Amino acid sequence: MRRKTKILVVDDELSIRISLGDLLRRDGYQMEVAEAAEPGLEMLRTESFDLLIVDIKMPGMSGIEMLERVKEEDPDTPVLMMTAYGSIDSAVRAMKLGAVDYVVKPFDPMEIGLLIERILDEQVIRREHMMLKQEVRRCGSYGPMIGRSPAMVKVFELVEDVSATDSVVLLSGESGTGKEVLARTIHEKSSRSDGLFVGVNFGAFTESLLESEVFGYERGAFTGADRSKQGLLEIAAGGTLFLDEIGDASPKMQIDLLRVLQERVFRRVGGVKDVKTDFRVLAATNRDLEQAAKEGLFRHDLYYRLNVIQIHIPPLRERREDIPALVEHFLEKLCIRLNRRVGSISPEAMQLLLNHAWPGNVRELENAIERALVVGKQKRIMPDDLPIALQSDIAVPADESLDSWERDFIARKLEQYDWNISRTAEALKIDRGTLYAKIKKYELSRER
Amino acid sequence: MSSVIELVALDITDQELLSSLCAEVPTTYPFQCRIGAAEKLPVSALDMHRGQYQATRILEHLASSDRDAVRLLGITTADLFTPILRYIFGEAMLPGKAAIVSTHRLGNLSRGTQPPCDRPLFISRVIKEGIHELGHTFGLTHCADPSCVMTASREMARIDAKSTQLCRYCRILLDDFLTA
Repeated sequence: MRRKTKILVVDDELSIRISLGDLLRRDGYQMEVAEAAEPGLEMLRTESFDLLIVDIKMPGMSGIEMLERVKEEDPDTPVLMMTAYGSIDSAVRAMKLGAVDYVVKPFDPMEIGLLIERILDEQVIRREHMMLKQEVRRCGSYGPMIGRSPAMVKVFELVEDVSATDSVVLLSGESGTGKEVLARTIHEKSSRSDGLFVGVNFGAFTESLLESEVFGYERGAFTGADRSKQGLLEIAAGGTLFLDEIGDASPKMQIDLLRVLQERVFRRVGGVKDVKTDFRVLAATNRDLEQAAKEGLFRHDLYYRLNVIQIHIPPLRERREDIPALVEHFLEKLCIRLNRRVGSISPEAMQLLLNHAWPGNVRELENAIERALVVGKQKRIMPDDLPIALQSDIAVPADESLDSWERDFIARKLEQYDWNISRTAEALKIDRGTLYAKIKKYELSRER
Repeated sequence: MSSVIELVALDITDQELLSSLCAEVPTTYPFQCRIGAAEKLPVSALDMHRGQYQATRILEHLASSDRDAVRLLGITTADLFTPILRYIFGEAMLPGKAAIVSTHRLGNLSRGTQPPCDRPLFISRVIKEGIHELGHTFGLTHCADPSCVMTASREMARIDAKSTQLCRYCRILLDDFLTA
């Protein structure tokens, strides 16, 4: 579902407002009109428009003055000026002040449609360019989700189901399991895929910075806010808003988000008017939000709003059968990026990958493959190319309990330090007494 | 309510043209079509300064008539305009009862500003524009499919390239409008 392009026409002449409104509506645009500059500016403060078409000559505040105000308060919105014959000087002045173009009334029917299409296309390209720059800054890369395990097949089935809807989806899973990749997949498969995918990470910013990034701000809202700025909620209009690490949202942010989810309106920082918007919400957390809600750390009402459909992504250690396919995928992707020609992985190295516990999940696996490609000199990945932590891994015990892991880990460290208790305790960052207690608990003994 | 679309000849006497358009309308819209009583263009629509007729005033005139029809499509040889456009091929209420199409710039052999074209091509242009404007009266907006009759008619080449029919999506939107 692509959001309808919204255009505001500002002209004091009723017949122009009506005929231009009719013309644009027939082209499928959503139209609003204002009979003067002041009410037009007022509308601009409460609603987002993709284009303003403003008459230069109006009683009261002129179109030129309005253009100056728009460029101060909302510089991202393109303004097309209308002029009559004989006022070309004003049109040229308007261009210097930042108008995207000017058009002489009455319009040539062939020209006006193409001109508006061009301005709107440039606007889309500009917004996409801005998002791509953000992506590059985050050095993020994303590809399709990989997995043939029953657990992941279930996840993919759910993704197919929810992609066709506009429902809120809560993605849960440990760090590195691919919650953002899955959110992007849902967006790409949804009817909003023509719109933008806009991510907000609640764990990454301070509250005040996050607030101005998410909600945008009005000029003068705080020191340094010398002009108004659209927030991510406005940029996401027509697309998908991804609330990452939602469990880290502050209590104040939770209240604001609840209002956004309930009423689809919000206020810019320093703003006094509600701004309407339209996007699909996907959220992700590595925390148990239900538990957090019970403990009073997360608002119940927000949790219920977010937990309409939950998709849990299992950790990599619970779907080891997916590791070979993931390795193949990362090899292919990273070889292109790193300009390497490494076609495969040795069976011994693969065994190490299969044995590892992967506390950092798929992200850790990708990092391990990248390291191997950077340091490896052969045409396939060898055990020595993998991170040290993997090379010293022991086989995964059949029993995956924490005690079993701890027993094997301590035994391995004791062997590594030749049963020197002080050095082993130091390596494990525990005191010697605790290490003795563990040796006794797990009945460990030195093999001679 | 009547289930007939009525063609209203406004200062036009080309019976072959009216009959051709009348025969084509029911192939796109689920209504019969008839040629109603001819009448003069309303004087109030004439803009002496521009030497053209204001289309919206003609639409208001048609819509306020007591003709018993589900839609009225006026056809005229006069040159039409709206306050914002220098000229138009046609205009319609979106949605609404009345639409109008002008032959003035569609390559009429006897008058108009376009270079003359052969008669079958001229008739096919008028048919396409008539069906296009009727589409607006049923709530259809411009379509991105260049072969759909609802594609925007900004230049002659695009009119000649499109068909007289609605595309699949516009047909669905028309059905939705008619069943709502």
